[in-house]
Amino acid sequence: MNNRIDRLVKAACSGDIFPPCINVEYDEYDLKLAEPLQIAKRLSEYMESQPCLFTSDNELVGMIRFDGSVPAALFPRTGHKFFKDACSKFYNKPQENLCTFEWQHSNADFGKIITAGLEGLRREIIEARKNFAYDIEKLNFLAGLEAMIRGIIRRSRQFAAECRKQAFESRSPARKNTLLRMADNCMRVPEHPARNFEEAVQCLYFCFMFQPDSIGRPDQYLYPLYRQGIADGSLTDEHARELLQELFVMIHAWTSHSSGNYDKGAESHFVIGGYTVEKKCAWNELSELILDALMELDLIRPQISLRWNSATPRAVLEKVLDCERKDKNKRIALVNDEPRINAMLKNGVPWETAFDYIMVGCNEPAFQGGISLGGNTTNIVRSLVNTLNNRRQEILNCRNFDSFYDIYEEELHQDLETILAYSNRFNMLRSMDCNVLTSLFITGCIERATSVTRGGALRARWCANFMGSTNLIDSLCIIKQFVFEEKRCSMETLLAALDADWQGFESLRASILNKGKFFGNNDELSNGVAQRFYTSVHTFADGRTDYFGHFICFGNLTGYNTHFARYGALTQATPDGRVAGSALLFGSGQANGKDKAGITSHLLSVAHMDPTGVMCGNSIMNLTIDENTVHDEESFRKLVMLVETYFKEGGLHLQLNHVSAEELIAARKDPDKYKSIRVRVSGFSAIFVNLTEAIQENVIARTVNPV
Amino acid sequence: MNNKKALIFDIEKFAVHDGPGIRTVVFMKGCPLHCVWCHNPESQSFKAELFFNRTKCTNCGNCTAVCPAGSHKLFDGKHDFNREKCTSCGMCADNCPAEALKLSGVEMSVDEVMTEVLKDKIFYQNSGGGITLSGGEPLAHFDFSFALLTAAKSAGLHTAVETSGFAPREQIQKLFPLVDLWLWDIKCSPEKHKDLTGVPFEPILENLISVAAANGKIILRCPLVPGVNDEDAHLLNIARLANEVAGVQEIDLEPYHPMGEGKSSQLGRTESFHAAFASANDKLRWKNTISAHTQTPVHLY
Repeated sequence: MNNRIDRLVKAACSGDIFPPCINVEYDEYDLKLAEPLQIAKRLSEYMESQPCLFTSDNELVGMIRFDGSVPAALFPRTGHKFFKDACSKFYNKPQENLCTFEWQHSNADFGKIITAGLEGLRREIIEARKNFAYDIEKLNFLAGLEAMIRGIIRRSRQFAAECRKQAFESRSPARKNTLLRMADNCMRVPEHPARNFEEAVQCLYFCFMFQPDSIGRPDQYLYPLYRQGIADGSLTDEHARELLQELFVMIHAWTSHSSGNYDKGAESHFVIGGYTVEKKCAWNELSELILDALMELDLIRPQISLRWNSATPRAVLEKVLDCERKDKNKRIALVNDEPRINAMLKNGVPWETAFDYIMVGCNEPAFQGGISLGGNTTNIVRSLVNTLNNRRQEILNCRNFDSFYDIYEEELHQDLETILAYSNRFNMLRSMDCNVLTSLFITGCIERATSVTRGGALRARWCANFMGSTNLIDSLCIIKQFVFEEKRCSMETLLAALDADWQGFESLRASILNKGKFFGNNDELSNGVAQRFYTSVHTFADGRTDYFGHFICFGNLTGYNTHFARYGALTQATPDGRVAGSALLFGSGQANGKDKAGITSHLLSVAHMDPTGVMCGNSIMNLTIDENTVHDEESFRKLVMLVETYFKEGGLHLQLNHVSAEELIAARKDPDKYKSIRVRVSGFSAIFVNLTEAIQENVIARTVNPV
Repeated sequence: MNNKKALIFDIEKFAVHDGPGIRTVVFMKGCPLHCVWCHNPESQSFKAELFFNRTKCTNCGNCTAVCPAGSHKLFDGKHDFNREKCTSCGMCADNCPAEALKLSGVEMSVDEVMTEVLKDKIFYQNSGGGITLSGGEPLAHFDFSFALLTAAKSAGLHTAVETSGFAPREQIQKLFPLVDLWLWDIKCSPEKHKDLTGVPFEPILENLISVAAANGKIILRCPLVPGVNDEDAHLLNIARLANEVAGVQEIDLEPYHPMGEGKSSQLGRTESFHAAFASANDKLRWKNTISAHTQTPVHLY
């Protein structure tokens, strides 16, 4: 890593690059303008009033922050008034111990801007206008978009002027040249298509400000210009690496030091690898360069996922896992294309869209130029609690597990219905906002002349996240095994034990914990129950759409908020031996030592749990392995084969922790001594000692699988 | 169908140090040797045994209520366990909420073991792995091991046997066509063998030579305990064996760890053996001494 990048890393980590917001007084007269035009005008004024800040080490420019006075970038939701109102009612406020709202992601189609430039978008707007000749509202929206394009171009030229000014003042001939080149770049992009790799990265960085979320698949959309530069000798790997590193540093610097999420790594998650549109392995030299460039930086953002598929060579997986084991900042996760793309195709997403999916946030599948809806964190255990309490007489009459399960399925579907209704209501509320900035970068908004907040996006999907799905499956397993198959206890006794929170039933609880057939052990009973449960979820989801008409799926991650603990705190004892009030599990896997049959059984259970693909939303699989597995070369090679086999069998996601449980327990006791331990939590990584107690406990409870 | 049974005390998945690829190791209970440093003392007896971890016990009394032999009692609110009465039925362990009681040894048939082993077949196929028989001493369960290896071979699995090599020659010969890899223990120098393991070295050496003569592939596995069996003469002997016995592909050095020490007391045995972890210097000396006298790769765990 060269000195310039090193200095930028230091500046980014000390917060020096983070720009201030300069207050702007907007003209009174613009109240007469239609909403999209007023927003575009104000945003343009706002941007123009902000200083063009960059350091003497920067070769990429464009950083800006919005202050919330006008609806700006969609991901941070700056200035989105109705969204803010809706959040004040729902965000972090679980309703009926069932459902809450977490956050939503959306992603610009950076590749398109690099290839077509804003001038390409302008042509699209002119085309779209023809379809809405008599629809004033739509025409106004398109006019707002067009005004926004002008505003963005002016802002870029403002940076060009600043670069020229500094070039004029600079005493260093080298820096002078660089600044003049930077000025040329700003005159060229994002207005026009980028002609070389450097312009492309400048365009990407500049536009990142208007939707600062995932940068998608940079190893694909930057590849043609990278190849061209290398082939004609105008670009070296060294220079490409430097540009990428500067991009990553500046993405890192975008999150404020004062943000509560500064030390978490979920923002700006992107992917490498995957498929090409011809269904070939998409891993290329640039994928490798991106990975190496990122690993050289001692930063916690952006994080990265390898998109594995059956065309991915083992050497690629080994390379990525090798980086993963050496990355103390825990930025790497792995996802499997096969089940995900299959699920999308089944839901009517065409291959041309599905092959190009990305990961965003903690671990949400998404599309470039698309939006991820839902994000509702839900207590899936409630459906079982309702079955046990509200349908008591009926379940006491059940002669077999099938008849019990039929009753349970009714409760499950009822809760899923409620969750979807809440989510739709939320989306209705926030659809009153109008966004003209991010809408430019989301596919469909121009064509439909509709704000992204109001359903303009063509590429989207809806997903809610289950907290406690493993508790639920385990509980169903125990009911099947203990009550109906082995008849170790009656339903009456089990219900009495749950009512008493196991007080007086310690022996039954011990017997459940010792003899229970829990999920994650690859046995017929628990695998069967898991598959049956997820098939029931599919029965609900199949053919159903959300408020905006997008297909729905489910997942199981927890975001930065610890809803799995909050729901648990309000949830009674459950048949899996869980006591009242204790945290629920999140993710697909098992914990608390219940995965007794070892790591391969655990992985196979997870890989086979969801035959319909309904869980191909925000699902995560955390695996904690003994640290020796990654230290010893022979074991490491076998770990690579383990992960590959898990994916071949249909596993959707995997992220690894390889610290010892003893180390984590010690860290809790003496946090000052262990400040540097980062762990993967739920699709994001964070400093272990800074996590809440509930998450710390969850991380420790996941079984360490010894070798 | 194969209903031959043996007492199994563990089936370990994703074993990565017991042969090539990802493997499942089947541990059989019972061993004719009694190595003083044995880190799996539960593997020695041919009978099921109960672990009792007093520090985990909460004196809840659940075990006293379910034990048919009356071996668990509460005296003044404290758990008292009379091991002599215990029949190792496991009822108490099933009902112990604190996991202070654990049964070691479950009787399983070849079919039952194979069902469990074949669950990971996809991992073996993708990694060149398979099944490893271990113990205890798998050859002390000859009929079972023979049947298990036959079943594994007919299922197309790579097979390995981890053994002390102490078994009747004709039994070992019967296994030749069924074993792809022998993980052969070399415990200590021939002079100390009887004292430290309870059996002489000579039959073990003769068996090893017969395996080599039949073109068997061999990895020498050498537990090394500082100050007990790590003298230069033994290290040189390991190197010489590797040089002189055809088919030795690798030497694995397994430094002593005191894991077995806590286990012995949980099995109601008096602790008689104590040793320290091997130091980095010890390990380096072992490896260098052996490597200086043989071309065979030396792997240190």
